[in-house]
Amino acid sequence: MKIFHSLANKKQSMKHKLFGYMLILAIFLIVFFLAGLFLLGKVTSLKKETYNTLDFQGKVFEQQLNSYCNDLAVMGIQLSENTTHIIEDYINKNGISFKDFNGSKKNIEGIQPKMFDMLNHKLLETDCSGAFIILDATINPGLDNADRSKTGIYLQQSNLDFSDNCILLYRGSAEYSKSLGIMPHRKWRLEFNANTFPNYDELMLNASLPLSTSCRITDIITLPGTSERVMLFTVPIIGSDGTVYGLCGFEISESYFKNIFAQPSNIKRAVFCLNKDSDSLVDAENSFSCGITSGYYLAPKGKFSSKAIGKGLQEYKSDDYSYIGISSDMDLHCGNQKFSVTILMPKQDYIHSARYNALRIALLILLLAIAVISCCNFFSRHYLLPIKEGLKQIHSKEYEGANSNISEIEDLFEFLAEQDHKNEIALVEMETALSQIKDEYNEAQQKISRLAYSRKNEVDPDNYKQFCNGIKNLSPTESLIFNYYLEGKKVKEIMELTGTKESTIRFHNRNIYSKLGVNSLKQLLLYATILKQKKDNEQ
Amino acid sequence: MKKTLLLILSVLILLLGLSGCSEKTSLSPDDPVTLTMWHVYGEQVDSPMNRLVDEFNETVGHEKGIIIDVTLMSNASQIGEKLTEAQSNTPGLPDMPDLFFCHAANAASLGVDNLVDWNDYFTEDEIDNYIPEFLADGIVDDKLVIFPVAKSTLLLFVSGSQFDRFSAETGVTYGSLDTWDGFFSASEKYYEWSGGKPFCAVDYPIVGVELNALSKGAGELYTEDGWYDFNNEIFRQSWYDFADALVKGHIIVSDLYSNTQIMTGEVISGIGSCASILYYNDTITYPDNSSEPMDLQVLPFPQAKGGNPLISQSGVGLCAYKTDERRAEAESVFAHWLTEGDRNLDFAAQTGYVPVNKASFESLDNYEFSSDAYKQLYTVLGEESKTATALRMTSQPEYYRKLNLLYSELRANQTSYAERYKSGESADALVSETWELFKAIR
Repeated sequence: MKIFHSLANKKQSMKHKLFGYMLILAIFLIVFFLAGLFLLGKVTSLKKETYNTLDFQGKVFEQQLNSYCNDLAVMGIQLSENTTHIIEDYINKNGISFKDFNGSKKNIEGIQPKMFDMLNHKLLETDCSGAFIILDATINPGLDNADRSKTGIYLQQSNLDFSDNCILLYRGSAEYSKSLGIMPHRKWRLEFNANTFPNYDELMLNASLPLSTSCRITDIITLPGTSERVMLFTVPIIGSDGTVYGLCGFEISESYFKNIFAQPSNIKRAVFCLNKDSDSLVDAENSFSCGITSGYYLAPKGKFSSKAIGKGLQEYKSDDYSYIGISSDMDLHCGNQKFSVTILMPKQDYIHSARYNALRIALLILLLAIAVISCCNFFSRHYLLPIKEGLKQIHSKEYEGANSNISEIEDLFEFLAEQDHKNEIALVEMETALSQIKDEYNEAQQKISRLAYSRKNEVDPDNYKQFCNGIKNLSPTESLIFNYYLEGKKVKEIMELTGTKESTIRFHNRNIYSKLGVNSLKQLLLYATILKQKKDNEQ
Repeated sequence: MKKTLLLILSVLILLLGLSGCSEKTSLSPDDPVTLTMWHVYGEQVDSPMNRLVDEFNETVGHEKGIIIDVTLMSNASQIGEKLTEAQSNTPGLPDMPDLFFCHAANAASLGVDNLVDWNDYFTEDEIDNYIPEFLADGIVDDKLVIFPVAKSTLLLFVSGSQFDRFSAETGVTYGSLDTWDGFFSASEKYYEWSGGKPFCAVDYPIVGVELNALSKGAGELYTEDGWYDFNNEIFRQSWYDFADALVKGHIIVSDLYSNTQIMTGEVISGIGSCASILYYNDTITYPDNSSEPMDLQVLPFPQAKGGNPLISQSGVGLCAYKTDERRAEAESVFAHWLTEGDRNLDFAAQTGYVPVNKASFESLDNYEFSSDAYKQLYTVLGEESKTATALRMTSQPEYYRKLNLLYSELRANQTSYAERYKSGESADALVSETWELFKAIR
């Protein structure tokens, strides 16, 4: 309101005032428009927008993981049941018990081909990088640490080329696998080492029916002899009498995870982490990650600390990297195992987005300002142009019969023309009256002259001389009153003009008469007129 | 208004002019380019190349805006086929990579015009830093499409713990394996001593046949179509020498890599690439799950007695698939980084390869290796480089297809050859059979 008041009262040109009002109007409109957008939820902060994007990506990622684990559970349970069936079939046919596998090359080599074929098929049917069966038995109990050596088969996809189904034998009988054309892995061993199999003792201890509740995902380990990190999806192998024969399941390698879980995203750079045993990314060693399908992937490394930065976002920092991201817990239906997913975008990108947004807003404001100022300037100029032209016409009195395309101005032109006409008539009338007055005045002057001339002859020269000399002796007040009399003022008027009483006036009159040697006001005025005429004649 | 516009335009032109003065690069850390890569270093095991890629991504890549993403690890003998399949969009294979390692023959199959010519990205001074023979390996149609990163040669690897027992009882020494004659003799003795087990698994037997023949003065071995000249008598005799040991079961063509057959106790030695040292297990595991330390010994590639010492020179190099200028620039940054001095030396020393950078090659003598086996390997490589002539393998695309077919046939038949010989068939007849099999390869 102060602006309006200032704008209204400040002496400015019409153009500037109109420009100011239009500018204020434009600013108000823009502010209301932005407020409207904000209220309708069309304007969101970068944090909120980032959170929404990451949250959406996270939910898709979680859903994919859930679906994947469900599939693994189905296939794992089938693998376990099939293995149990093979073992019990072999036991029944050979009249032995499960314990008889321990230390029996014959029995172990006897059962491996059937398990081998079945496992090979399961590996090819299942979305995983490897599959294994580990039995609670060893081929040679006489060796050192034999109680930790477990027979079994571990097959792996040889690489991420799924076009050739090339399988490698990581653990198991090399002789038999070679007969099937399956080469031993470069770091092959005959048996598993329970000490390096993740969570082996715990998994065996907690193995129970139903299988659907016994599926577990192991800790992430680096496969012995390689640099490949894997997590194993395990299902216990349990006999019909409740004997735990061992474990089976599938391997999910880090490379495989990265390959199959790469997410489609409109974020240029993002990393999707599945974290084990924590509710967010704490240590990259306990996480698997993937990038986006367009090709970006850079694995997070090291330990991370996190802090909230508002709107649900967290900042994750390690020694080398900084990310902005979100985390959420998820249930993969593997007992009480804790998992979470973390979706990250490099902090650099976030800052870049913030700068870009700020620049965009600044540019938008700049463009709006330029547009508003230009528009205000343009429209005020064009709106006022006929008015200014009209004023110019008025100034140069060229408005009579002029067109301005604005009715108000044309009305004004008409009004002014009419006024001019009236004024001209009045002027003529006044000039006529003035001429008459002048004529009358001249006539009166002539009369006075004539009268003065005729009276002059009646005036006593001595009295007149006394009169002329007496004027010099008048006091200032007397001179003032004398002059009023000469101007034709009456006593009452002189009283008002001088602010004195009648008695005072009379007192001065007596003095004036006395000094001028006259007896009456009439005589005084006569002498004065003669004196004035004499002076006029002299001039 | 016009003046204001003029001012804005002037400022913009000035800014554009100033920006033009800075170094011209299409790379930006704010908008990194991701390059996919296939390589052959450390498949199935701990990969030094992957560690280098990580280091690159965290340092130079991070600064310049380049991310290398390894999407497939294969091996030198299979990567060429996979690349050809990827080029034709075979389902199941990852997309054609931006960077990959392959042989000259593979590069020719992919089409030289589809590949980046490294000469466009390395100055002459930079090129001078590399060993000319290794650079020559990568030139196809006058373009340097394969940049050397590390080179290899074939060596003889022996399981020391087993050989020592054999040596103690038979008197065969490591020195006996210097020549092919000694090698075949030792193989025969081992076969008898072990009760019928082969002495050696050979990864690329044809290389031995070739070098043995050339060493004895065989001259040109190939015909115009890039396959062998079966009328070359010295070459035929050399084949017969090898085939004799093969049909008798003294040696075998390896399943794929000889080291896997040493670790399972199937053989006690293997002829394979010097780079196979990366893949050797430190123990041998027998079928009863007992095991023993391998005590790996690295010996020179056997030579023809009295002939000119010859060794093979092979190894894949770095190729870049031509896409756009930005990627080519990023690929060039990585190639420079990967092959520069100390890094090339470290990489080679960890993988058992020969470095390609002159300075790195010269620094090998003073390098501290991670194990005795590696030290021994580089001692052998050093001696060979001084005494033997390195020969490049042919780069004819069809050659390797035929060769792989030959190896497959030999692998399929080698057990039956040994059994037939054992059951009384003539070794000469069996050897002739292998020669005919060789000649029949199309």
